[in-house]
Amino acid sequence: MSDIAVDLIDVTKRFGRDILAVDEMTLHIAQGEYISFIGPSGCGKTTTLRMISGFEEPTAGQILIAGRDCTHLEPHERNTAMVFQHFALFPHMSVAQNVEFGLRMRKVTAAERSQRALEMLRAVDIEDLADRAIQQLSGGQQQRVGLARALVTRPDVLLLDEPLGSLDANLRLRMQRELRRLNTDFGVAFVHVTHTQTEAFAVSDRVVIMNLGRIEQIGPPEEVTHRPKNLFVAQFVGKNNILAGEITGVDGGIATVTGPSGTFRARIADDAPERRDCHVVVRASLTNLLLNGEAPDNTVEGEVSFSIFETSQIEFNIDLPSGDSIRVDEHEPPPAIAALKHGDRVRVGWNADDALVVFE
Amino acid sequence: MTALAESRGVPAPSAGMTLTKKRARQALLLVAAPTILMALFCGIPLVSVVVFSFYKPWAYGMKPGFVLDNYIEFFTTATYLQTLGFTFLIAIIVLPLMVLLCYPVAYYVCFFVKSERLKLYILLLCIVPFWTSALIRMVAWLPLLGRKGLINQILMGIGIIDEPAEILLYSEPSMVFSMAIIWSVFMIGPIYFSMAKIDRQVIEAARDLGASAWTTFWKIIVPLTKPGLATGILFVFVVMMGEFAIQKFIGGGKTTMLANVLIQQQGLLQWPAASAVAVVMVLVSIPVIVLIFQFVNLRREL
Repeated sequence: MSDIAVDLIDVTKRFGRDILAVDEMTLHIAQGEYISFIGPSGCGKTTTLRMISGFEEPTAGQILIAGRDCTHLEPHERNTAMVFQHFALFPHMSVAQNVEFGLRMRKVTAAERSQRALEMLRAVDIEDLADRAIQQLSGGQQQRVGLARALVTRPDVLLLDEPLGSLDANLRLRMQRELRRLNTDFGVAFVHVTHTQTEAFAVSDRVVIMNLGRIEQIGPPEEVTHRPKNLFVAQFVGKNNILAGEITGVDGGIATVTGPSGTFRARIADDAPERRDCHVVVRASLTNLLLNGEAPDNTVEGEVSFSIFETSQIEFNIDLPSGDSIRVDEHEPPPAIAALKHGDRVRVGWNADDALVVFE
Repeated sequence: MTALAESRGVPAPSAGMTLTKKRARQALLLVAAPTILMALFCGIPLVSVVVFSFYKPWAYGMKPGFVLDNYIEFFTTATYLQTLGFTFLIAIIVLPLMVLLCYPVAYYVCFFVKSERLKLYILLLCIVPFWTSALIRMVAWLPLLGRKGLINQILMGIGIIDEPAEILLYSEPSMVFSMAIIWSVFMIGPIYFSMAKIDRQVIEAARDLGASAWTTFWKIIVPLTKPGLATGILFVFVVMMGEFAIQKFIGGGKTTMLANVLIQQQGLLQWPAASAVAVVMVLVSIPVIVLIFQFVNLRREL
């Protein structure tokens, strides 16, 4: 057995003549890896998932699952299992019958079937619900049945399509931990599609950021958050301030960028393209409101537009004279900062090491 | 209306009336209209039919009384019992035939027709026969199935048969055939609607878990369309029990079903006998309906 769960090789999917849903995508998903696809709607993440499961056939390219070419196989001919957003449980079957369905299709004997189903229900913590009807279950319980039903078939890869989308916020957090635990316990690759980045970052080993059918960046959550590869990722991921400008000089990995809002110093990657037009990116949590004349590498002045209270931090939105605006997250701010209100003039600063130059 | 509401223990509106009481009153008024309608036009006739069935028959009508003569006559006359048996035989043939014909149609419209508009048009097509009267629906078969009808002309034209086929019209098969076609909307409709209610993801889930298209059909789609099947069978069975025109125009009057006996007695002004047939008709239908409800919990599924 290969240690790669899924190989996508130059996979392209077109719908009709005009719509290019996925564009020459190449991606290798390791066994036991938890990988998430995020991106705006229509970016091709769901189409990619459906091509792995076999519900969509690629227009070009190859899909290997556990080393076997599955590009043109039907969904029931490949060893994948899917968890659906609306659970898609069989309403005319009990919990146990739902979980046993995949085993029944694989011609597993009745005794082994019920034993494996029970073990799996225990693993997702609902063994006492085995004989219940689906209609009697809560949303969270239904999601657990969905997980058990998929995992019990020992798939090469578990595909999760917005699996937590229809759960309320608290339950979603609990199920995130549950998903992470199941991924570790079973050692099966999980491919998770979501439009909620916090969810993707919470559970994943690697995150795939997609846009217009292409991969913009792949990497661990820390990496895509801290080192966005381009303007799209910087705009899409996390809470970033983005200021346009032109590179006027580079010295020791630090570029000097001049734009309408001022001149800033920011890190620049060694392999950065030889272009002048660029954007300076700095995360809202790495910018500070300066009350005491501190002098970090970069500073701007502006007016407080509004602030948003978020339990442990306050987000200040500052309007700059250039028309740009900057968001500053102040973690547990002192009273002098917490009291700032609309119209107050403030200075905002950040260090060159915390800022990054990206290109379109 | 107010009198009725009061008689059911709902107080007349007063200044201190609470919102819930107001809502209850509204609900009661909404229920009252259909209840009164049903009582007037269904309840009273039904009760009078039962009462008349025990009246004494008389050459030109009936006389009040309480006799079992009408029922005794029905259950001791061989022709009537044969008719009862024949009615059920036709039902046993027509219902499965209709399921076999209508299920694929519903399946096709539901899963293969992509455009919602086209789906609507196809379903509307099933209702077209109901734009005209029952009589015309029957008579319309004659140019098609008759001795010199289109089908015989074609069959003879291409040399498959030499003589016009007699079986096409005025025969039991032609009766069964036309019943199945004319009532198809009662079967296609409910099956289609319960099929359309199935979550597409549920079907995908089955495929994903290793079920072939065939297995998915039998293990997922058929069980989930049981309510539609049951409703369709119920509709057709009830319509069939009351049908008398098809036997006359397409069956050629050679074979009679239960409703024909009723019409015949009524035509002879034998009201008590006709009423007794009607009561028998309702009574024999009840077990069938109960059976269908055993098969599927319509209240829960619909």
